[in-house]
Amino acid sequence: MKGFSLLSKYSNTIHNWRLNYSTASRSSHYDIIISGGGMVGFAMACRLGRSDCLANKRILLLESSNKKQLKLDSYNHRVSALNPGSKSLLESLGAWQHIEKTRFGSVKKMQVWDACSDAAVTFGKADLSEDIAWIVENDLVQDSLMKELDKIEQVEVQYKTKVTNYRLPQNADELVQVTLEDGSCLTTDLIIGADGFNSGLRQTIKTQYISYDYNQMAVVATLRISEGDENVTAWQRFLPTGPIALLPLNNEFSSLVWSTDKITAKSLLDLPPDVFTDRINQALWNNDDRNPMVQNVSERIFQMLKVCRVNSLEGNASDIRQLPPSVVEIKGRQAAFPLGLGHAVDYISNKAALIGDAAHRVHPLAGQGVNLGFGDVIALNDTVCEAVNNGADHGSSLYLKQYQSNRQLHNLPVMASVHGLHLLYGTTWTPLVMLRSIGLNVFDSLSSVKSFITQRASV
Amino acid sequence: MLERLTTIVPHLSRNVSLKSTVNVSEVQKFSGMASEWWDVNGPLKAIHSLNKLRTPFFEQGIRSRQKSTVANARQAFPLAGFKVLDVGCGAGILTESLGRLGAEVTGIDPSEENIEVAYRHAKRINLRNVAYEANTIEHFQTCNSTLFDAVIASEVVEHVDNPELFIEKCSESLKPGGSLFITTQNRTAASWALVICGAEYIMNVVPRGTHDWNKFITLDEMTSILDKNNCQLRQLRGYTYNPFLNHWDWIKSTDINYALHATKTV
Repeated sequence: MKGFSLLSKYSNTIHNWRLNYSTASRSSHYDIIISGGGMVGFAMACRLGRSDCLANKRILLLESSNKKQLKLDSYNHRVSALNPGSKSLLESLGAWQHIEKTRFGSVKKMQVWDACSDAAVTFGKADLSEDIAWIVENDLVQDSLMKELDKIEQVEVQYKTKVTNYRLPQNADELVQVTLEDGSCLTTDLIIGADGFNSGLRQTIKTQYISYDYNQMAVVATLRISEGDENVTAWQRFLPTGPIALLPLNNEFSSLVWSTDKITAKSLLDLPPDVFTDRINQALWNNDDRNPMVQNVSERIFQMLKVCRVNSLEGNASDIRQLPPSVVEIKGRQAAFPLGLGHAVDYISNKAALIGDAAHRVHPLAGQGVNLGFGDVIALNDTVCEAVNNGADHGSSLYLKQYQSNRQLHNLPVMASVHGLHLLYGTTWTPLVMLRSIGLNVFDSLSSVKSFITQRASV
Repeated sequence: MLERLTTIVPHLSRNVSLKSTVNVSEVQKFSGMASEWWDVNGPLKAIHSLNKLRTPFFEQGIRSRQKSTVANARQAFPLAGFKVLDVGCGAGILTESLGRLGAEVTGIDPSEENIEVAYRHAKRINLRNVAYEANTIEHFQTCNSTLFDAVIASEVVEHVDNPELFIEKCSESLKPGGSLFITTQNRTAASWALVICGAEYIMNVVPRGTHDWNKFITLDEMTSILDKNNCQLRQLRGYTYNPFLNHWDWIKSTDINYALHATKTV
């Protein structure tokens, strides 16, 4: 039996400097590093910086491009449809007030219809009394978050700083090492990847990444629309080549998001403004893709359902079928970005977590992309705070695993639905067109189901 | 051999016949796990996930009874200003979590191997407010005049010989009005089924032989010991383990495991 020495004391009286494996000095160690400064990266930095339990943590955000100056002379092409959950997040971060003072579009109604049959679904109240989404330029969201981040002392932002390498720890006692382009090395207890769909951190994690190239591009532009009622409706028409959407910016302008195959997209990009405007109007109005048989059946069912819907309690917006506005002209030039589906099987690794497009990438047809990212921000912040409140290491895999399961449970059904819709509406095969048209008409009449779906898409 | 010696040597304390709380084979069992303590997904993963439940319980309990001596203890360090003793700290899993919350923690454990692992780990993560000592509570209490705001014996009392002496010495280390926290298993049919059979033999989530059901202490026995030491029971809760999710939950029943918070009467 081994005797124990009664007076052996192992006392820890370590003073100010940190011991870590890279023997880097204190100034190069951060408690949390966020890689990537888009809307989601900045929101993450703000949210962590504002959490009371993290008041003593040093947080760093690394962004590879220069600090952007917000240009407001014309509308920026890249916009996002923010759901109520995202708006609440931005309000809680103090960023929404900047957006409100500047500009945004309100969506009080959404009409989605099928070019092959005119079957349609509408969301929103008939009296247009409630906002269901907000259309905000991405640059404005980012700028608003940056303004708030400037006020948070313990969060540092380094622009024009590119990460060339991540080294994740092999065991829980080691730190993450981040190497920058200039050769310097930073260490951290938790690295958060908000670096987009080509995420370098995700590649380091070596997770299985399920990706699918839609072979489509989304053509975006700012359009002046015909005068009419208040522009508070979001329109989306599913063409066989992809959906075309008009998102309201204000009474005069709407933002175009036209997802189509790469060849068509590239030809659209080359068109002069007046021809481009004509093509948009054709896409919204013409009936070339209409399948007469399906149209016939679908119309009858629509009438039948209208009769059955006599007792609907709330003024259902679908009782009134509106026609979309026509486009008068384009303001500025059109642009395009590629579309794809992406899903990281692991959102996390040792002391590492992915958020936003780094973890998941979706088709813009349901306007969910950045909303999923903001949801990740809330969930990861909650996870980190829970770890800290329990006295745990905030990079602990015990907690990061929770973040992963929570978010995947939420994100995967949304991604599957969006992908499913893309597949369903990408065909002109009559049986499927028939099925989806009848289905859409029926779905449109079930207000409780619609409310459920709307509510699920709101967080 | 040590056990024989202690039965021969006359005791000095009140009602107990043994001078030591240390069970040598128990200490050896835990010393043997030295390299596995800090593997969050290893054989001791249940102890790591237990922190999610017990650390907030201890933290809230300590703050409910006493105000911190540190003015405006920030939310980031809710236990700043409190002196806490973690008895049977093992490799410091609980000790570190309390240290991170700002408490000045001393962790003691009879196993030198475990104390060494604890010390090295705390040094690696630069936790400056924890101190470790390879010692038993009875010797520590005799040699130390420091009194603590809180003494915690979590998942320990079921491994000691002479729990009455153990708890007595724990309470003697407390400041008047200080908090004593004990988390342990109840000696019931339910705990035999779940903690021994279920956890150790069927699910293999706890290494076999970790617990000896005969050493579990019933609630009645525990309350009687607390009474003898002038400790008033403040809070009592039951908890249980979900092996599928590696998750602990508070439950109403104290038949399996129970966590208590008692305070030393002034």
